[in-house]
Amino acid sequence: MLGTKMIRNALIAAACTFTVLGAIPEANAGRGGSPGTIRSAIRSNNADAIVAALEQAENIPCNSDCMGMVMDLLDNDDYRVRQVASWWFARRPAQMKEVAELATAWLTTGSSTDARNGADILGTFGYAKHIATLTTASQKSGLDAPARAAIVKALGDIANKSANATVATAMTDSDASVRLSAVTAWKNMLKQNSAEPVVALVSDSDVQVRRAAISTVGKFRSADARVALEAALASDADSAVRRNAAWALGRIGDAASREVLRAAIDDPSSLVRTTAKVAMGKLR
Amino acid sequence: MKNTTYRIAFSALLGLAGTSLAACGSGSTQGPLDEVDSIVFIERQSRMGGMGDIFQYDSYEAGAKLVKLSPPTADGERIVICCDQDPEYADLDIIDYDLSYDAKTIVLSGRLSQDQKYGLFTLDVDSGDIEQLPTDPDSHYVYPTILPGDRVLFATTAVVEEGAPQFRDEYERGTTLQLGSIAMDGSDEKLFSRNLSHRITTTVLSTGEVLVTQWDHLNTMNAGLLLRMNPDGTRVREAFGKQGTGATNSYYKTVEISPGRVVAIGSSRSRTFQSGAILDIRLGETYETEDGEIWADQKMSEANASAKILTAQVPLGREPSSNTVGRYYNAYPLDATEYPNFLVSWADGPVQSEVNGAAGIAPDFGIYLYDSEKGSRLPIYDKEGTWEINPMPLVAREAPPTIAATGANQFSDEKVLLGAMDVYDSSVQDFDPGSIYGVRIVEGFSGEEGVGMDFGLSMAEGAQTLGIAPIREDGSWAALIPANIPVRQIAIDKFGMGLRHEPVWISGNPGESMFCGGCHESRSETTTIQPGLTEAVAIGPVDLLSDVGRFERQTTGNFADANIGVPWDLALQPIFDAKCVACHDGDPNKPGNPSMTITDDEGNSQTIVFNLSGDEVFYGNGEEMVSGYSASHLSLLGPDMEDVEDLGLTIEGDMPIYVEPENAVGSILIQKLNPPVQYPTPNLNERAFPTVSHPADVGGTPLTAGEYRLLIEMADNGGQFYSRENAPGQNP
Repeated sequence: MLGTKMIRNALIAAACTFTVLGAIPEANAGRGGSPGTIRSAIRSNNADAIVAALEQAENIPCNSDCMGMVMDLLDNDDYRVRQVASWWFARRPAQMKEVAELATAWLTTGSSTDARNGADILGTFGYAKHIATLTTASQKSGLDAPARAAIVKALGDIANKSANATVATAMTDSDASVRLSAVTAWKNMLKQNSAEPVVALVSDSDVQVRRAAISTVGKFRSADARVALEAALASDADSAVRRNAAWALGRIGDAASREVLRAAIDDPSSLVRTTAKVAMGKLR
Repeated sequence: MKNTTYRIAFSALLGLAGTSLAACGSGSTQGPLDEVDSIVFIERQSRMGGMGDIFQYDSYEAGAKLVKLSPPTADGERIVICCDQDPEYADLDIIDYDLSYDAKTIVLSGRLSQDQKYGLFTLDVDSGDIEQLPTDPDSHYVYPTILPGDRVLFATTAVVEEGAPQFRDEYERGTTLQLGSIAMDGSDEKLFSRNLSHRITTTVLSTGEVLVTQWDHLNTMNAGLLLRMNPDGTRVREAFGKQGTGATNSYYKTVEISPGRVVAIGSSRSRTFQSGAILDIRLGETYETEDGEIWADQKMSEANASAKILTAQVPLGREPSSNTVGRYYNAYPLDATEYPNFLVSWADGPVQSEVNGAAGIAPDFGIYLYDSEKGSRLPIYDKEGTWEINPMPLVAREAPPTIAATGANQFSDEKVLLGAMDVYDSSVQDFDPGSIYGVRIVEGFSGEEGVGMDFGLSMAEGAQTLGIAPIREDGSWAALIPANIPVRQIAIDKFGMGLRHEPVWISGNPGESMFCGGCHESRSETTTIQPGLTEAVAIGPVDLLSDVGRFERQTTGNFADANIGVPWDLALQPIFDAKCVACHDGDPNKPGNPSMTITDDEGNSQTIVFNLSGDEVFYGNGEEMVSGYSASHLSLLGPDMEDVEDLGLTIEGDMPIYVEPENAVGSILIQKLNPPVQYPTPNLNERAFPTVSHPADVGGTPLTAGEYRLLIEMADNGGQFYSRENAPGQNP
């Protein structure tokens, strides 16, 4: 049936993205790397250069000397370097298995730094089969906060909801960086549909945890958090917390938040006012 | 015809274009900036890292400011307009900004602290009042571009699909940027359909369209190319970079010089601190106006586009630059003559991460006036220890026209209508009449759905087949697909093999009609798109999983009966185990098991013997130089021969590469097996090639039509090992 929409469509030029694979300029991505360029980048001691060198050598055949160079990056002080080295091995399944065994050993018997590095490796690999190792490591005593945070982050990077319980437990950790990592990990889980354990952190003592928890409950539209969010918007000393609370209340959309949002339109902070005003317009 | 877009801005500048720049810096004599009272730019802390490739956006160093220089000369007064007036912004970093057409408001992308994301802020130029716009605090919002109609286009990590993770980039490492827009008052945020990799905003054209840089990545395609689109994210079309028009790998930070003509930074994708050469890109046919301006808005199409390099000595690749040559961070045109003058941000020296990193010295970008005819630069402002970037005159401009929102297709306000009027109308390939059975639509995704860091030994991303839209008698086809997801199109024959693969991902917004004239019909001719006149639309578009949610778009039954993904170990390995492994078991003494030995220049070697088992790759002989997901996957996909060649490795033996990703018909495996007719109904008596089918030729059990289909889709889709069905992050 030809109708008005047909006619309108006739007037709409094509969204044609058919194209020709013609003379494409040199791609430079994923190509052009060599053991020499990796070595040179490592010598530069610049994380960007190392990242670029390994990306451009993503699939090159590499002998044991070459593998050894990248292996040495797995415990680099810079997370970006550790991550790209792990990524590089993740594209080499046989070597990935060996590196995963090393990471498991670091998590099981190593120092806190070893555990942090091992968690970063397994998180980058992203395999659900490593959740058990990470969960066990999370229960070890004596690990410092960076290691505990890295373990939780790794679980979030794998993003399998079967790790929810471990991540929820980490939300009660005594160290704020671990709680913050747990909130982020929770949010990152694939097919996550609730922020139930995060609600308690809306009033956390740490400002960064509060900011993250509030945006997370907003993302999941957690109605259970409404009262705590309204309190945060009305009285939290941190303007980013108040801004996030206004945003979250707009997402939840409960008309009961109208008065606190209306008051926030006159908030002294420029971070908050427009967010509160727009959130008002989203209430049911 | 007069240009309208920049008339107001340029009216103050054009009369002086091309005159001597010698006085620039004194503020006393004529020059391209002589009638400009002020310029604005970002003063940002210099940095050694975090700038990885041109799409990276989350580098943070506290202490950025938005600065006005008045007059715009070396002895001008430096006035901080943002954000010393508010102590909450003490630790701000600023990545980009844009000026409203009336020059009264600036929208900037800033990050308040390391633990927060880049957000959008409006700044009243006169009063200094700042307001943050209400964007998702967990997502970055960068590269604001002010649209006519008081809206702001932006790039963001926020996801248009509720509950879906954002795509990762080509390397499965960085979270991609996608596009959206929001009203200047903070209301009505809209996120557009997604590319499989990054998109970043650049500029508004005088037509009202926007120009964006898209990281096109599909198997061997890998570049940052320019697209045109409507400001609501619809009607995406290629603008520049392919069809032999390209000058380098990536083009970004474009600003319109005159209608159809833009200045861009061109470079390799990485290592150059997001800087490069200055390119003058003409999107259509070039002509000179009566005012002596050069325009290029006639017959705008990628095929008619061209580029001129305005900085001859600046490297177009990722190699270090030279002293006094350096690299350009961005350029703002001050006139539209053949060789315009530009306000530029430029740094001397190598401006390359490896060399700068080794020296421990960051590049130092400062503001200069660049005469592209003479190739000369005059310094305007360069403060030690900071980068001065993104300069533009603080001058009102005439707003481009507002383009009305695109209406929905006639079938759905939520789904995308995808199709073509006549698939045989093609400028790139001569199809025999009747040779195309249909168009296979394949959804793309990246590793964030639990796949991890790699899909297999090829460069291909994740692929799930949504289905096949048959070609009708008049050559048309039409399908309804889910909105907001990247798809690619493969024209297939009756054997199910791809005849033509589109090397780009496309996606549609809810209700969008994406109808083409043909299969890359001529771009130099005008085609009237009338989907309503096609048989495909009259019959009704086929529904290709348009109601099925992202995570449910996977195979639930027997793969050989009907499949969406082709997970290697679940869909293909059972075929190999049942019908192939009895012979092809890695035993080098059997005639059906050729081998390949790779040797490097140090004499290290590794031998791979053909083996279609699902075993782990065995390294019993020599160095472990290449790897694989299973013996069968490595045996069929092989090592990356381009890398092998580039590294000068020696290959000996008689084992070929059996599967060429995205080319089933050209793959030895498929040719050897010789597939039967699949469509419209399977016919095992008619084969694609005039040879005897394997393994029937040696008395083996023949493959079924469904098994052939799986192998062909595996090859045409890219040879992946992983699909949603066997994603290791979701399937322990």
